[in-house]
Amino acid sequence: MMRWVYHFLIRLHPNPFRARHGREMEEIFEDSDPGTRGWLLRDAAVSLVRQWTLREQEESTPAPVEGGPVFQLVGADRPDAKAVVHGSLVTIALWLTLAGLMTYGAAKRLSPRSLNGSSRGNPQVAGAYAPGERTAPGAPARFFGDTLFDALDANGDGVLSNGEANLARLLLHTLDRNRDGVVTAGECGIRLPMLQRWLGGAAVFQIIDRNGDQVIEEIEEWASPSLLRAADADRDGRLTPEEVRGYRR
Amino acid sequence: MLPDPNSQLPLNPATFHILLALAGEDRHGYSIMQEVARHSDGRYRIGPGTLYDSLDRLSKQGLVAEVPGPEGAGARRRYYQLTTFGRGVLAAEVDRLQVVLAHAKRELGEVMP
Repeated sequence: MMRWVYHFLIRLHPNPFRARHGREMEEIFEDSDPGTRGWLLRDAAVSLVRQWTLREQEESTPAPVEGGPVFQLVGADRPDAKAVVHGSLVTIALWLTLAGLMTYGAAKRLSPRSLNGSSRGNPQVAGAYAPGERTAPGAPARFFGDTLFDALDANGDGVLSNGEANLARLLLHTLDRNRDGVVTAGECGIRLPMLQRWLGGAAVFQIIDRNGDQVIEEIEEWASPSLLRAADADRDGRLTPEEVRGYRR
Repeated sequence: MLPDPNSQLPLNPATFHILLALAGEDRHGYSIMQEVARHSDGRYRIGPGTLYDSLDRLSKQGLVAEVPGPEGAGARRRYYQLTTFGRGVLAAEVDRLQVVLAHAKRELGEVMP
């Protein structure tokens, strides 16, 4: 194993140095006492770094065979240090740009505004709501309960069925991992793959976090089955937007 | 005209030991390593990577030169010889070290009872 590593380190040396000294270095390793081979490995590793970073290598172009093709190298066989630095900076800049675009795109796709977009009408315009819309015509602005309702109404039928209410309870309970009564953005982020499968965790958080302080204080309230029952004014086992709004008031 | 040997001083330990190993006879790389270990009582060791890097550098500076090996040695190993300039540099370094050594002994003699 050590022999293989040593030969590999020698092969990684610049070609002129390896061609000139590689064979003798390998012979020295073969003749050495097994107890000194670790030290020889360290020496080869240091030499490798030194040769590539500190030493100018002379090109040893072999003489062309008569009648054979002639190949020539354009420039040095080592990359220019400035080019490496510039290339690294450009690569980092490209990755940051790409990451920024992806983040912006994801945020735009998952924002509450996009979820409450044209298919659900403009809540500011009276009469613009189709039957079954969640916000009553003429309402000045969408209410916290409406956006929460939107998020929990998985099938978008305008009512919360028992199944959706139970799912909401389970979901909100799952979000609050440390059971401290508040759900932080970090708790949403950790569970994001599972939440995306259910309702879209980032979207749920953005919708429910009304004041944008990255903490949801009232979510446990909605996770309580007794309060869900209390909000069900007509006791039909389903919550409508009006019932949610009426309960909150 | 050869450059001033003092312009090469002080020598680093690896260079000093390599030149010293070549002062007696022409040697190949492995022989230099063994000689360095011998004349330093095993307290200083040079690895092959450091040795051949130093030999390349010393060849460019004209302190050592590659020479044909002795009869029967074959062409497998490269032999190195101390040049006249290299010998002058080694002598200058030894003189410098002697001065330093004498000064150190005087200082220690004054300090120690």
